[in-house]
Amino acid sequence: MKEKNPNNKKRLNFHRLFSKLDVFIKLCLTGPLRTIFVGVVIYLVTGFLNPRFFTVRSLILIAKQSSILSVIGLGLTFVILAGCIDLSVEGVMAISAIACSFLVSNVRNSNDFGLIGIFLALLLASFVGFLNGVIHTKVKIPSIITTLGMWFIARGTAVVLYGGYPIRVKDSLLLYLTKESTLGFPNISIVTLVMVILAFFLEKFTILGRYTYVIGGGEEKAKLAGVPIDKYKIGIFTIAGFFFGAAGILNTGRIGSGTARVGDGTLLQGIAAVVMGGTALTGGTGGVFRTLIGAITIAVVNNGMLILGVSPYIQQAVMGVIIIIAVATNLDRTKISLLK
Amino acid sequence: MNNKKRLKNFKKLNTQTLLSQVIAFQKSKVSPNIILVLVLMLVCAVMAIINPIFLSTANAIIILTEFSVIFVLGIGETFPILMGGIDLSVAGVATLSTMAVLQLLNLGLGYLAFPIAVAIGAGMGFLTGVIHVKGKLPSFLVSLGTMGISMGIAYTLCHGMPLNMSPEQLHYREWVIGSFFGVPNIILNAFIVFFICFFLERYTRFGRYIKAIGAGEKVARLSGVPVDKYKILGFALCGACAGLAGILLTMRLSVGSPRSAEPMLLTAIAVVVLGGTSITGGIGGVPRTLIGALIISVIRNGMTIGDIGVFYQQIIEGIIVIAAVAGTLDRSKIPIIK
Repeated sequence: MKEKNPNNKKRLNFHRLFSKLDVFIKLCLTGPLRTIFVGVVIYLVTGFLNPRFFTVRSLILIAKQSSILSVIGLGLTFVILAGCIDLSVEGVMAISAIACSFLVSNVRNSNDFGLIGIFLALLLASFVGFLNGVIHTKVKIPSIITTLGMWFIARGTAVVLYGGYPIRVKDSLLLYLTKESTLGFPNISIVTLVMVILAFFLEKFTILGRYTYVIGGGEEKAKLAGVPIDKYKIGIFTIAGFFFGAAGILNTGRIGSGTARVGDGTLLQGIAAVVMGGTALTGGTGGVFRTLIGAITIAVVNNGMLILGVSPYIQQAVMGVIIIIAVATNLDRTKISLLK
Repeated sequence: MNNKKRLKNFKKLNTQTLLSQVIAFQKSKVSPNIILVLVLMLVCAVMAIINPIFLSTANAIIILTEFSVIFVLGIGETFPILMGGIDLSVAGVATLSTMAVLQLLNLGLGYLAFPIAVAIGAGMGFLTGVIHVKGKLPSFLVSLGTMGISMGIAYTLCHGMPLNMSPEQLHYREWVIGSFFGVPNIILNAFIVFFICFFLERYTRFGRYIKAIGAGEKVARLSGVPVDKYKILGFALCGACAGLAGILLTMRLSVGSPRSAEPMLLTAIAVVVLGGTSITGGIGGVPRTLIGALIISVIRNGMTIGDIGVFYQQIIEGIIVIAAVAGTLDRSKIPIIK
């Protein structure tokens, strides 16, 4: 017996070590840690292939690119956390960009509303989100159809107002917030960080944030528990509209003029950022910080491809592949018994 | 305060009444087909009153020509929607086949370019179906991904610039832009596709299985329907139709622009849901898409004659999609609306 025990102890030690390693590897391969892992790996590989990638200038480019994507991702996170989807990103960005360009100091008319103009554009974008929520909950249409229709309605309205050629923006505040840098840090990233903190606050410390997780975790159960789902879903879609509008306004400032095409291609990237970050499409798990990580990783991938000379058109294809792979490895299959 | 409350209650009651009316209508025995034809005639009458040019033969031919591309795209989209899913990549696949067919013609493949381009479209649809079925991912997401992939490949094929057809290649357009006893070929092409797909839907096992899958996937699976295989086939057919639609569009314009198919995604879905095919699946079919496509083409034509901007059409189509789905959604199938 005494001879057996020492052997057993050794085996037990190995077993414990391996199980801990197993847990660690699983942690690395799923969730936000995986995204950081992937991001770091791609960053290092790209830098190895082209050392110019390791410069501070490159980091600043990544920060700027991930800024607008993060803001879009913030809005999408709330909607996806609740188990719905919002396809109207591009339309809301377009309409808020056009509205903002017309209201602040620009070359097309003599308006100069400054901060009020930006505020009004944000209000308009939130209103579109509000419409999304109302139609979805009151008329009981799946969010995918509602937001698909609203995408084109908003886009059409934006193009009608736009008039064919870009509206150059002259407002100093907007341009300062998006084009300049403070102490080497791009302002647009600072604005984005403020938005992220705001979104985090909404998510963790408000009733709406908590109920978002509850609704995403199981809508029937939430309903039975007495959660006023309609009210909070409308709120969620309105918040999404607000963030999309903010992204559109930031993009307008960054480009320097308002066009109806500011949002083109951002839907795919936005969803990619959210799923890369680890927020499940079924809802209930995830968060805004994960989306931030996802957005930064995608910006790393994008910039990496740019530096390596990959055609920008292939990047769209890569986004599609990333979404599929990220969702496939992240899906909570216990929640979807039948996938349509 | 009392008045405010009364107003609020009254408004709440009205929405509920509207919704219950819609549900009652759905449960009624009135055949949606008749209603749709009536709507079509009504719309035509309205357009004719607005501008009598609408009733001329020349205008009818213009309507049908525009209608052909939308219709073929809509026929393709009908099958995934009949199955209860959706294919958001149709516009992307159409763009891809646009570029592919032009590049294949440049390679000197002649008439072979067309079937190859359709096959490429079918291939993308096949890819969507396989990832959807094997990866167990929602179809809207997979098709969003394949839309990105198709657009990416399309942009790479044309380097971001519209592709022109060289003068020697122009004779390849004849089968699309020529006419047969006064009827433009493109309309005949669309109707050939219609009859093939109608036959597939009504008189083959494929069609029946697609409807069965849409009506109730779990039940279909338990009944022994090879759901996976037919889902993949359904998406492949959608891709093939999208490819064909892209070819027709390019041959009509003799130029391949990477942006031309962009607004067509909404139109394809609008055409299908307006026709009465339910987004929950199982109900509807190709003939309904025919009527839906006719209605949308008439509305578009009417707006062009009435000199309303092109982008208002998108706004109206968006409203149509929302309203049409509201009316055709089978609420008993989805207890929770996501």
